[in-house]
Amino acid sequence: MDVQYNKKNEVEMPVFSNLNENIEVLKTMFQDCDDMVWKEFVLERKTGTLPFFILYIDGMSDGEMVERTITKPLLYEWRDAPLTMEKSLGESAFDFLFHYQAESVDMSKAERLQDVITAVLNGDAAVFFHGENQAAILSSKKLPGRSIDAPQKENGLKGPRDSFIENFRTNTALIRRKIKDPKMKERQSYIGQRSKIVYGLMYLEDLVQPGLLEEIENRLQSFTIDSIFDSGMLVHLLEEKWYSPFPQVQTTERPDKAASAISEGRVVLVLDNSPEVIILPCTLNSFFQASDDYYNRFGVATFARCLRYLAALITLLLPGLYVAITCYYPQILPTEFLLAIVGARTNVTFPIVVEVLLMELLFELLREAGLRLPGQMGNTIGVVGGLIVGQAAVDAALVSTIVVIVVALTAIASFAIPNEEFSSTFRLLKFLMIFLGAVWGLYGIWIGILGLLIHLASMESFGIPYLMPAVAGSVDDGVEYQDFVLRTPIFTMKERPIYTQMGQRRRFRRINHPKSK
Amino acid sequence: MFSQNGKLSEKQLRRMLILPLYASLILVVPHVSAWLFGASIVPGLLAFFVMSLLYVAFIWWVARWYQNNRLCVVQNRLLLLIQIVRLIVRLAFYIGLTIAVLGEGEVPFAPQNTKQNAGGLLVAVPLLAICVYAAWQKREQQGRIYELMFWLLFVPFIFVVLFGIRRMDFSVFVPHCDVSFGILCYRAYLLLPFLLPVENYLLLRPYLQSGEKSRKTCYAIMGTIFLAVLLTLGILGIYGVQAGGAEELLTVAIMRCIRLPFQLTERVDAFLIWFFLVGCFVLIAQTLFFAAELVAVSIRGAKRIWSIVVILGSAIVVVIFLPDYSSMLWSYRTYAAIMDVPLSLILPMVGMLGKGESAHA
Repeated sequence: MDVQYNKKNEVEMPVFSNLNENIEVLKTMFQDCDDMVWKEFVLERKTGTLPFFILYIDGMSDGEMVERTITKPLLYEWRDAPLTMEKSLGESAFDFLFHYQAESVDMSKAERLQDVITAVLNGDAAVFFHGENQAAILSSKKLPGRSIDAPQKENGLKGPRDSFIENFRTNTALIRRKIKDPKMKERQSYIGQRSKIVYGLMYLEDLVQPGLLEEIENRLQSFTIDSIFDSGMLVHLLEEKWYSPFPQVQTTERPDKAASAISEGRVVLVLDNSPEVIILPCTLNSFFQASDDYYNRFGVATFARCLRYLAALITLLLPGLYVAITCYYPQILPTEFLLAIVGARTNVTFPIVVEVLLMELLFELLREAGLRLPGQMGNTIGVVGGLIVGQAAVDAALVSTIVVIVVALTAIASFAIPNEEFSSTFRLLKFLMIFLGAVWGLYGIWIGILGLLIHLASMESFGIPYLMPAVAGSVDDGVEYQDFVLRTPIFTMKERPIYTQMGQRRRFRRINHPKSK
Repeated sequence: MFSQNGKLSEKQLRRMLILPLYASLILVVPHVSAWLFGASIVPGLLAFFVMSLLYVAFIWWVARWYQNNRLCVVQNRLLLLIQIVRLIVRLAFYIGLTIAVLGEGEVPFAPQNTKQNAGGLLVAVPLLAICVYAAWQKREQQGRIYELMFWLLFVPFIFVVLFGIRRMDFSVFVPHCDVSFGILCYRAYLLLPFLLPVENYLLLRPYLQSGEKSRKTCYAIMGTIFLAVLLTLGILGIYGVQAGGAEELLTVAIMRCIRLPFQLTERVDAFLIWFFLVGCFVLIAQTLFFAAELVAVSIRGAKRIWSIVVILGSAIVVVIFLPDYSSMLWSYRTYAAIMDVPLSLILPMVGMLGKGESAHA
């Protein structure tokens, strides 16, 4: 029998009531798939016989569970029971078997063959009964995966140590564990014509802005793609301004951060196979917020945040400013400092801009090499590169010591930005600033900053101004300023931020409990 | 969604109106007022301030009248064309001003021994590209851009003038008048062309429906003019009225006289290029934006980016004919005194008179 596919690469066929037809179609589809496990059985009961067929994928499904919940009860434990129970369920053998005899809570029915196939490919087991135009889907996933580990990229001194893994259900459970509210919903669907990756939108229904979910779903349905393997791919498809170097949605590997976002009225998109979830919408400020900001005292958190903003500025501007000032405006520097620079550059053969670019590229090279190498070797590369090559470059008069300091300071600053993707943006733009500084001097740097600010001011993330609260902060009665550069004490953050729908903004109240006095 | 609601906050509106006004007044008025009034600077600026208040009051009154009517300049094709041409001429002046201001600084790779503004031209090209990008944005985004620019334009200059207070000659504040009242008023009138960004109030009128909002915006405009007058006096106090009258780009020149405290840097003028860049950006980008909006009214379906490019191209053609800042300043002042300022008073009245007649009839 020919299998009919539609444009979305989906099978356009129902589940047939004739079991042989189903088997024929499935065998055609899964021909040469040696990891498929299928077997036909016959139920022999006093009132008659019923052929059925089980299908699942070896390695993705729990075979023991299938046997324990389907095969054993149906073939052995209920062998003396009739095939139907007319009084309560009509004459359907399927309903009787489904509701009474199968020993699993997590079972569902599917009438479209495509739904059955999707379930099987996701690790579930399918059971077809002769004479029934629906199949039973048993949730029997046992996907290979690693256990929950500490976050790798978003470390903090305080706070929970768990992080997301590649398993979709584990990830949703990690969030659910932190928000035990029935108003937290999880809408599930799949993406990718071939990869058929499951994703879930998690949100608190009474807090999420009206229209936000529809907007997200519209964007998710606005394209078709073969495969999506990580949230990083999906992020690029969700962003409005694809040409912008700045991320317009946030990703995190920390469940506490995801849960916190949900409790602010934001939506978290969990994608199967991805150890990071996507948070929508976001602002520039949210990339400077780290989880432990809220676990530390407000003074410490504020200081850390100021440092992060400063670090972003240093990463972006320091090399460019150094090039612009030393090349074109040395007269603005104090004389002693200027003499120190001139002294350090004695015998250096390259122009300043080449010197800076050389060192910056060397740093990026070391970083990339360190990432690709296994743990210990990566560290070795850092030491060899930073100390030995740097010193050798200075000794060989390829670069001056001041440039080494500038590049090292820029590198350290770039690591102080809590979000790696965001930090990469600044590292990339740093080269633009070096170019502008080398060509137009300080004019170039200022024009670069002006251009960036205009670009940022015009950006939005799902309808929220990207630079909020630096712009449009007043529309929110200044609530956003409580968690901007300053992180005010928790008890002063009484209102939820702009992401929350109107009328649901209050999140903290003092209760005058008699015992509290 | 929240940001695509077609609304501008009160703060955004205020800043959209006061920033170009502030930039225009600060970049040009100190020199022109010193040149026009000389020793009579205090009464001269006072006359200018009073005249400015009257002009703002007039615009506010017109805006109130138009609260329930479409602005006449967008109803009549001829008036619309006149309005667009006025904006193009103004834009040409702003571009010329930008080239001159930026040319004052040290521009790398500027050809040596050529005209003074060659360096300014080199920097003006990327700045114009940024202006086009900004003008291309929607109105809500415009509001956000100017809201942000406020901190980069409005505040730093005030601080810089405060740093120069040690060098200030306070005798400039002593009122002295050696010309007749009529001449004083005439010269104050010649400063009004630099107040014309206030006219944008009429184009932003749909966002100023509430009386409270419009009153606060008017106060902000008046406050800005007052601050600009004070800063002009401050600049002239530091630089000197006579010297200020001779120095065309006085606001740029004064930066060389100011030293930052704590000996952080030897000179600050290189850093304050920032202030001039933002000032010029605000003037060009906003004029481009409003001109493009008017083109969109006159030619339905016109691609916004093309409107902006055509308007900018037209303004650049005007600039090519007047490459020298001195002649450009003189030409613009003369043109604006004879044409632009009267038109800014007459054009809105045309609609009011027309309406009055029809109502009478």
